Amino acid sequence: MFSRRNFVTSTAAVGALAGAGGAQAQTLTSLEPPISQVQSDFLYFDDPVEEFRQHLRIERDLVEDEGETITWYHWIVFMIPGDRRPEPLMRYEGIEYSYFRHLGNNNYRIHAHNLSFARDLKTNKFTDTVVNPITGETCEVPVSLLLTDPGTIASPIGFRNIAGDGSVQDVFRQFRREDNLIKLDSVRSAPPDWPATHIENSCQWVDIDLFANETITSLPVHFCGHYAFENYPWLNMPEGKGHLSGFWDGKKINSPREIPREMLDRLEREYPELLHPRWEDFEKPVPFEI
Amino acid sequence: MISRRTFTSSAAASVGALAGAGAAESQTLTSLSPPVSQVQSEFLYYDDPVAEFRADFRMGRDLVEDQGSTITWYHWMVFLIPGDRRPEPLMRYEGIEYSYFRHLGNSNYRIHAHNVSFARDLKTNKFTDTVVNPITGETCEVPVSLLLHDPGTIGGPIGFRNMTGGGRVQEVYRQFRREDNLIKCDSVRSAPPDWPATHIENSCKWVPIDEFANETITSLPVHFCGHYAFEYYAWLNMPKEPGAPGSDGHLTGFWDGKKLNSPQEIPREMLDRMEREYPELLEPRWSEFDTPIPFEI
Repeated sequence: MFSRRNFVTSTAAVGALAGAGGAQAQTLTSLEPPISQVQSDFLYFDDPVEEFRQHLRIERDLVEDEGETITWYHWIVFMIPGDRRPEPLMRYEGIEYSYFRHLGNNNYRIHAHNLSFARDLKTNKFTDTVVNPITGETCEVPVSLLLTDPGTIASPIGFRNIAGDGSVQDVFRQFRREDNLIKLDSVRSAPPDWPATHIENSCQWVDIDLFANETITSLPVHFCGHYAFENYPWLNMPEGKGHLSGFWDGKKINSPREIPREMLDRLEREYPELLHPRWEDFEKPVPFEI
Repeated sequence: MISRRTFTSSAAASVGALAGAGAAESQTLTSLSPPVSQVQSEFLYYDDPVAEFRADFRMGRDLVEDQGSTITWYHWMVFLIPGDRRPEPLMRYEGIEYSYFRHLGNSNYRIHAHNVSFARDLKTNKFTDTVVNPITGETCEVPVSLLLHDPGTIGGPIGFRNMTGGGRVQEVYRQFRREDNLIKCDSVRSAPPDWPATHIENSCKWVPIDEFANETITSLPVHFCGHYAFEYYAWLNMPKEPGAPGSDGHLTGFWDGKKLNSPQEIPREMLDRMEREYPELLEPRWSEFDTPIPFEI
């Protein structure tokens, strides 16, 4: 049934995956357990501090002093040219490594770096070129490195970009229950000096029993998300010609050593320094009163 | 800790723990750091495009011998991407897609579907029939989103053919992956030939690997997220004159949800409204199949 170019056959489940023929002798059935109406509820917090702290447990780690969080994800980039049909462009596999310090009163200073390796949408192999489906040009794709995010101060009142003047940007967040999952929808707007087309939203979820266990400060979430952003310069698109959108899915991991083998190997070879928090980012003073 | 305007307390233990924030203070707080376990992440490939299509169909719908139906339920948020200023969140919808299909032989499935979505206010989360356009400032009336005129498709291993598309095959991007104990499937769907220029839809759906591996299950209980880019709703009254604010923009939608086993599984508030206002849409519309297919299969 499968050819698995790099599929490891270590589990019984994999054996079953490969054994398509066996099903024909069995009774095929739709999976229809007894009807169970979905429990779907919006959840509200009376206390914005509590809501913020729950958000931090989901997205990062509700540490007393300082901590770090790594998320790993795949994401697919689409071109939205505006005057013709959008086209899928490429896949990335990436990580976000964030590190944060509690400044007191639930104010957290957060810095992060992101690194993504391009993959060809057809072969899935790491690549350093991609064909722009709008212009037909074969473009060189650099490794996507986000190393200059100025950082933020996050707190129950919103977030403040360290490169800004201390003005607070609202965060949209909505907790929901869906059966045995707690879900969190969030929307983040851009720093003040970023391009016009930029918005990011995500849905994160975790089992309700883990969420309810308040001794866990960093919840093992999975997530999907989307963002709209400007065309990459390396795409050589005419100015004002549409924008890009990215769709990602992934999970929080416990350590850089949990990054999947192929990506971790490449990171260790090419960017070993990015497998650690960059605590030196905290040496720059916050230019406004907390 | 939590006030739950609509939170029912049937799962007493969990709810009790959720509400009992104070208790944690006397316990030892800890990050959840089990022994390091490297993520198993693999791309999966099929030698046989028929097997690949059938695996996708088990996830997205139901690999029936003759005919079947599938309901998915979801929340989705809509964003305005005006192009010349910062995008803005617009509204939330709660909706269903009800699809119904017949096997025509040789793994070709004729598929019809309808969608119903009710608007919810982004702040109150209540059902609403108005929304403020954040670009123009206009308060707009929001109709219930009803997609009742999808012409239907023939889905098969070679791609899909729109019933109005003259039999031309459109490729489907799909990529199966393994992520630890989940099988994931990424897919991208393009639009029918006569749809507006800005339209693309992609999704990621997933199911536990042990259920995927159990080939006696023809309809896998997937969860999913997805995104699509689409033209402005007419009711938003966005300026059309070239150069007017937002005239070059479009909308995007982001959804998350799950496959259900029956209309009775639709959450209470939405099901109540469906039963009151659109009871006929809680059943497959088999009459769609009365229209003959205008091309050879």
